Parts: sequence; C-alpha cells; structure tokens
Amino acid sequence: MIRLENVSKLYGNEIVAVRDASFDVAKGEFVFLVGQSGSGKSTILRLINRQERPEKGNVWVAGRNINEMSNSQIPYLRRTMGNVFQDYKLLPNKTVFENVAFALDVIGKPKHVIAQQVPQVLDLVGLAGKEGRFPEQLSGGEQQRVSIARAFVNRPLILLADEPTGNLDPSTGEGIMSLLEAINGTGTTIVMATHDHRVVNAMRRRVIQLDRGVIVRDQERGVYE
Amino acid sequence: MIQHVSYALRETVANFRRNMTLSVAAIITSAVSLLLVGTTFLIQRAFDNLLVQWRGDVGMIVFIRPDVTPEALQYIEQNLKSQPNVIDLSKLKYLDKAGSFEEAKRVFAGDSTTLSLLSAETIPSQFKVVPKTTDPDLVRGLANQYRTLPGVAGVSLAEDEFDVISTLSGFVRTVTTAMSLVLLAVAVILIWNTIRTAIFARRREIEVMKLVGATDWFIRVPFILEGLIQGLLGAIAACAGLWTLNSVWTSGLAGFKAGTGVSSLVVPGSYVTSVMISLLVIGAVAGGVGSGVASSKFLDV
Repeated sequence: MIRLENVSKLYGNEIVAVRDASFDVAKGEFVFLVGQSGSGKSTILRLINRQERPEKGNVWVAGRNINEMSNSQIPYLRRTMGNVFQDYKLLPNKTVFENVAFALDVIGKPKHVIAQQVPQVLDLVGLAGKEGRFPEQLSGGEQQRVSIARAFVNRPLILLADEPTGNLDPSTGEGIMSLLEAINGTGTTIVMATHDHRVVNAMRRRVIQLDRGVIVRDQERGVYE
Repeated sequence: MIQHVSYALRETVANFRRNMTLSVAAIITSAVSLLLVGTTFLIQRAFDNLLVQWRGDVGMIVFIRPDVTPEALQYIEQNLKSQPNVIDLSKLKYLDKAGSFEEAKRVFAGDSTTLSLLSAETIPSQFKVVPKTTDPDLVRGLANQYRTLPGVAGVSLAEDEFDVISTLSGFVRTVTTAMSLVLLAVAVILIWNTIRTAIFARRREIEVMKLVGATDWFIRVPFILEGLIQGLLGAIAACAGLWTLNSVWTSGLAGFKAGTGVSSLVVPGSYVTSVMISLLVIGAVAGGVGSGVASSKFLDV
C-alpha cells in the first residue's frame, strides 16, 4: 500500500529530516512511527501525503510513484487518504456536522450523499447527538473524534495520524486508540506517528523507530523502548 | 458541477462579508480609476469632434457653395493645383456633399438646430488643403486669393480655429491617461491585497481543503470570482458616474449659442454607451487578473 525507497528529505541544504529511509506497509497494516521530537516522524507522513517531496528516493502509494505525479493529480491522491493531527485542525466557525461534511463538500459530493454519510460516521466515532455543537463546546477527546470522523468519512485507503493522542490525557487517548483500531479493522491502513509509549506498548503493532532521520528499528509487534 | 458552482458563489459572498472594509476600498479605487479612464475617453472624443475636420495636417479648408456649377468647381480645383510649390498636391482632398454631411454630423453632434438645417443637398462641399509652407502670411494670402474665386463660400484657416485646442487636447489627454493608468494599477494592487488578506484569513480552512483533496481550481475560483466582482462593481459605479457626468456636461453645453463651436464638445450617447461597456470589461479583467495572480501566488500546493 505504501513503499518508501531510499528516501532522503533535506530542509534547506543542511538539515537532514529523513535519511535513506526504506520500508513497505501492506494493505490493512497498523504501523507506529516512533522517535524523539525532530526525528523525522512527521516528515515521513508529509512525504506520504505529498505535502513534501523527497530530495532522493521514491514514495509509492497504492502502486503509484507519487513523486512523478503532476500537481493536478495530487488532490485525487489525497482523496485516498485521511489525515488526523495533534491539534485536530477543526474549523472553529463550523459545527461538528459541518466540519465533517466539509471534507465531502469540497470534493464535490452531492448533498444527499453528505446527508447520509456524515451521521453514519459521527455515530461510528461516538458523537451522535452532538452534530450541532461547535468545536469549542467539545472536550479535547471529542474534538479529536470529529477530526477522525472527517478523515474517515470518505472511506480512505490510508489514514495518517500525527500524534493524535498528544494533547489528550491517558484514558481519553485510549478511547481514541480503540477508535483507530476499529477503523483499522475495516481494512484501512494506518500509519501513526507518536512518542506516546503507553499507546505503543499497549497495542503491540509494528513499530518503526527513527533517530535523527534514520530508521534504527523496524519490528513486528514491537514496543516503544 | 452545480455543487461546485453553488459552493463557489457561497464562498465568494462569505469572503466578501468577512473582508468588508478592504473590499469596499478596492471597489471605490477601481470605480474612481475607471471613471477617470472613461472621462479620458470622453474628453478625447469631444476634442476629436472639434478637430475632426482638421485631421491629417489640414491647414486650410475651402468651402464650395452647394449650388456651384461643374465648370466653377473645376476652375477652383485647377487653381489649387496650379501652385504645387505651396500646396501639397498629394494630400489635397475633395470632400463631396455626402462626405461633408457625414463629417458635419460629428461636428454638430450637440447642435441639433444647425444639424437640422443641413442636409446632403444643402451642405457645402469642401477642399482640404495641406500647405507646404509654414509661413502663416503666405497661407493667409492664399486664403484671401481663394475667397475671391466664383463658387467659393468661404475659407477657414487651421491656425484660426484649432491651434490652442489642439495643444490643450494633447495636454489633457496625456495627463488624464497617465492618472487613470496609475489609479488603475492602484486598484489592481488593492484587489490583489484584498485577496491576499482573504486567503490569509482562511489559511486553516485552505489547508484542510487541500488535505482532504480539493483541487486547486476549486479552492481558487471563489477568490478569483471575488476579485472579478470587486472590479465589476467598481466599473458599474464608474459607469453611473460617467453617465451623470456626461448628462451634466451635455446640458451645460446646451446653454451656449449654436454655431459657437462649443456644441461640438457634446459626446453622442452611443459613444458613451460603448465607453461604458469597455469600462465594465476593463474592470472585470483588472479584478480577475489581480485576484488570479494573488490566488496562484499564495495558494501553492
């Protein structure tokens, strides 16, 4: 589903964010990217959704080399993946329903599809009945659920999560993780960057560890260390 | 498709509201600059009307009585052609009754009384004479000589009629054109800046849109539309201003006596309409270009 081949990413000419990284992620896998802040976890996610382009190497998504895609093809690439962030990135002037519907609206989905799919996904993430609230009226965990609903409403092949539990207390974080696990259970491939060792140790999934941009460990059913 | 159009329109209106003061400033600036552009056109046209009969370095016009006999006309023409060292024969031009009537329609555009007295039958035909010499006394001497020829109704000299006007017209044209170009540039920059601010205000939303896979054009179109509408609204205001200005001008000129020449400064309504259409086009293009450049510059993937 995702393949990195000897990928290097520089910021400026000197700072190396990722150095010679290679790995494969199979369809339906759940992978943790772990490491210190600045170790290159987020950069790898940004290379996969092509917010960044590597200086060296190739990134493949669903069988296509995304570095060779033209800019006009990128939106269609991104429709195959959802993104979840530490800071949720919700739109404060839109309600829960509107925030989720927005993702379908801007890719031109018709109204009746939106009216059908948004309540379904809100139900899935456990926010039924809170459609009319604004983000500031929700707890952190609920806001992250909205953000997951927005990422998942289009039924993407891949979900990229960047520190989704970073702003949440442990028990709320657990709730988010079981939600991601449920989504993974539907066949969606998940790549999640985190430095939350409790989460990683509890889940026992594949762990790719980065240290200053270099992959130092790639382990099935790993722990954080 | 309908989904896209309705989205673009909704967003355009919402952007407009959010950015009210800047949008209004952009609209007013484009209105003022376009009004000036329009006024420049009208002033040029007014002067052109005044000078239309003197186009092409014409220095002297010999008017021929409408009831002239063919023999007399031929005699006058021979007389003019007999002085190739003073008159530029290659530029000597005879304007028959029909041609003279067409020209008179412009000269007397605002003087319906005079115009109603003229017809293709009663109008004098004319010779347009381009003298080779620059000596005014010599030209004046020629004019006096032609006045005495049978069949000649009168002779007008360019230097009596239009030297001042021509200089004035050139000056006004340069100044108003320069001012309107500067103001137009200011309007484009203001629209550009409004769009930049709008994009900045919505950067979070745009980031999300990109991540969920909205196409560049889908994101861009509302902004381009916004700039285009700003330019167009400015142009509409400018058209209203221009129309008012021209009405006041026309009714002001009506107070002058017929035949003083001032009435030629009236600009016909059909011309004003075509200027207004150009203003709408210029406004929309300027707004579209300003916002188009801003949105492609600040919305990079």
